[in-house]
Amino acid sequence: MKIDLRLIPVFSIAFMLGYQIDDWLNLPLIKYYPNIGAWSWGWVRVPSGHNTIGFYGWLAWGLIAAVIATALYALIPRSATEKVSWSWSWVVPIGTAVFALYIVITGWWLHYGG
Amino acid sequence: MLAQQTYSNTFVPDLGLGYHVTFSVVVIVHLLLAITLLGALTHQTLSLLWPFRSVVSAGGGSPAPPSIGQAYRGVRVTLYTNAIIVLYVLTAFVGALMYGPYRLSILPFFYGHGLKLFGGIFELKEHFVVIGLALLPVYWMLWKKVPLNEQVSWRAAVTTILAAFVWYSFLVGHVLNNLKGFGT
Repeated sequence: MKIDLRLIPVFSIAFMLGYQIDDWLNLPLIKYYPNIGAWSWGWVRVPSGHNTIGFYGWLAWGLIAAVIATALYALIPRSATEKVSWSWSWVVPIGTAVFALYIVITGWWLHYGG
Repeated sequence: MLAQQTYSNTFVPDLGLGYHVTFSVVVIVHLLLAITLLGALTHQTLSLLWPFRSVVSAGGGSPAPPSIGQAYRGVRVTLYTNAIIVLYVLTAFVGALMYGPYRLSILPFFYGHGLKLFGGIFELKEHFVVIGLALLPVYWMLWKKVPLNEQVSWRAAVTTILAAFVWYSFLVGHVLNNLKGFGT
């Protein structure tokens, strides 16, 4: 199987951004409730007081975003993308990590009800 | 079903011995995988950023034997790539299996003891691990598909970022498990 290398950075960047933005919006695709061992779709509203895990649902949206972005990028003719350089893209994981820190500071340490 | 029961965020359920034994074993497997990953990735990163090249002596004799530090940096770095990817995915997978139990019996303990800071520190680990997971395809491409004398800075940056995430995750996991592990 021949892998189209120009798609790889697109997949990675979309995965990171999709995951982190979904975490920020707190719109997981699925949710897990460890106290009762149950799963639900992300849009199911539950009363407060449930130990709710959105992590797997953020991960799922990250993967979906990556697949969609990669598929769309693959539709662009190779001639239009062959000169695109992705060597700058290492700043994306750093930026995403800083954004994650911002989410943790504002979401967990400043506002979380615990 | 969801509406029938609610729990405070400091509620730690009384779980059986089997639960604690099972997840104590899982956390040890996670730790062993993480140590192996950490060793391989640190080896590769140091060898990449600070490579050791043996110097032939001026008299034409055989080069002096390398020190331990030089030998550590003098490895064939490309050999580690696939092992690092497999170890990263396995470690993350085992970690994800434990996330539910962590939220069930460890995070509520932190909240109940005023250790809210650690909830956030662990949350950051979870994000860094996913960002690193997303970075793995690029890491693979740079090490396996791009000649080593090309994209040197990009490869160095990606490898270093991955190593930083793994070090952070390892240290946080270790410290938090010391504070409150399964079965303690």
